[in-house]
Amino acid sequence: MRRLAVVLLLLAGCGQAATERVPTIAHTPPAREPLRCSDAPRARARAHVELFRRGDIVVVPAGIGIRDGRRDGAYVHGRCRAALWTEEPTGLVLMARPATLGQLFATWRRPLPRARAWLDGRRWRGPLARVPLRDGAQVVVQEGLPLAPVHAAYTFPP
Amino acid sequence: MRRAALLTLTLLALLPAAASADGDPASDVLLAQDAYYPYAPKASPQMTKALNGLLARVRTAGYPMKVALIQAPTDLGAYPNLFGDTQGYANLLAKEIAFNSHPHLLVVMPSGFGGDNLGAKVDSALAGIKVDDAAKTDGLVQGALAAVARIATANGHQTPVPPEATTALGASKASSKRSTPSVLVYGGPVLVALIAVGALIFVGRRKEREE
Repeated sequence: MRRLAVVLLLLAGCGQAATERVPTIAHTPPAREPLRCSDAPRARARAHVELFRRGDIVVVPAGIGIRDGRRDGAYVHGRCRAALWTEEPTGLVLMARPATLGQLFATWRRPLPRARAWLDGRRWRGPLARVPLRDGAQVVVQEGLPLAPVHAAYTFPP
Repeated sequence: MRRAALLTLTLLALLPAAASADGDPASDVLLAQDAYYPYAPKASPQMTKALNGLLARVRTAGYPMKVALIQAPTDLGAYPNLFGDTQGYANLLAKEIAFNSHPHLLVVMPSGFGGDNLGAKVDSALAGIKVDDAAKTDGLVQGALAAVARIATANGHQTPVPPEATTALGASKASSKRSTPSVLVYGGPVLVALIAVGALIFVGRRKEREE
């Protein structure tokens, strides 16, 4: 039995080495304009959110929470913004005050996926919508398998 | 218990390992544009225009390239430990952005160059190109300008090195977006004081006339 276990372990290793998975982009729902916005709210908190579907990257698009945004390459800028918004497609979420993952999806106007979440590298056991996006939070959301490696921390820009 | 362990191991053998991904801003930005510029200090508009123009030209010439300029660990998001390891980061980034293609990728850090799929002559093409560390982001852009042109040429796409690649750059302040002209800093208060003195004199004379 032990030998069998060893053989399977080796197989597991070989399988991973031979078929290292290159992530692809899963369908990324585009940003929609927010229902409400105010004039140039200041970002008082920032969080980083990574989304995966079956191991593939789902890009958090630039322009969430921005009305009449001006696109500049990969970036979107605009003055009329919701309480949280994204200016770049990197998962960096800017917030007028700390929010939740549920509020991010509500502003994006997309349904929350049935997924698992990690906050600062630790598995989140509560409701997905309540994952806190406080200042400096690093959040990973994964729908289905295989799981991508979970980053526990993120170095935020100045 | 043993059966459960065996089942888990079997599943592990069948599941492909997911590659590390999506923790660095450049991998997301490079999906939509050919260059990733650092957060700070900002590249000057002149240098940005020069590099964007060059990348558009090599793309038209049939040698599309992606360039990641990394000025500080904050440009690496979840991988700050790779700052200074140009080739290590290039290997990671190449996997992250290789969805349906195998792009020609160049990574520039203050410590030098890294890359992927840049042809057999890449080392000789990059020989002698220095990154001006003192010029911060504009120094990275300048290094990238020379490198992109020479790599494209080495791969059969004759591309002249743009003049901005050899322009003398100022200190890092030159690329800072927030730099304020010294005339405003020092001249502003002097101007306000002069106006105040003028107003006092004017009011004083008016009172004298009224009396």
